Amino acid sequence: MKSKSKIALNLKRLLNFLLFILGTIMIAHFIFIREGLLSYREFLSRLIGTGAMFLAFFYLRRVTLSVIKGEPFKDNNIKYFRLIGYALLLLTGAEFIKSFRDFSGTNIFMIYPYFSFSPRFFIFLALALMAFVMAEIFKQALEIKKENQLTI
Amino acid sequence: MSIKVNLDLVLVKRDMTLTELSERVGITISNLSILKNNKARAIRFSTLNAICRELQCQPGDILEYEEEKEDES
Repeated sequence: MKSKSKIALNLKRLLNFLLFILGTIMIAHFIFIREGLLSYREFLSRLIGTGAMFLAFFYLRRVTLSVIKGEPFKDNNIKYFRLIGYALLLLTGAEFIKSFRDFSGTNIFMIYPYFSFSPRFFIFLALALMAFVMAEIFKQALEIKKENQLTI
Repeated sequence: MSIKVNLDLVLVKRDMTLTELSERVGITISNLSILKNNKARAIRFSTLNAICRELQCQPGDILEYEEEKEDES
């Protein structure tokens, strides 16, 4: 049952574009460090951030492809959602380290002078949790699908 | 599994093949094989109805409850 949904097809195109942009940024980081435009620490943090985002979009694209094929409830998609969750958790951790001592006023939640959280921290955390919830939903859906297939 | 499917026995008694039954009830051979080999998790009333109609039997002739054996340790 192949899906002809315009949303899924457009999402695939958008993800292709985003992956291209992120891939280009990652390559640019290597050029910048070679040219001495970035410090080693900046290079590593940017590479981890862009890499995690790239992985999240890459696995989301794989899920979208399976939706277009009409086979979304597969073991692989459960694995992909978990990997998206881990990639986003990595971003959440990085954002926490970056912002928990930042009291510049842009952070929405802070207890001065102990710690603060940036809005991005909550966004990444919420997305990571959503990815894990989606993995569980897909796991249950797969079980129901298997049960249905064995109902004669 | 405690519910056993005796479809093969009934088929032998009625001198009918699985292929013939599948054509008569409109269920694929692979699905009937799943049922015959006790791999099915559930059976629809419509399927049971069609099988009983074609094999001229009662649901009890096809399905049998078997006491589950407990491991003695």
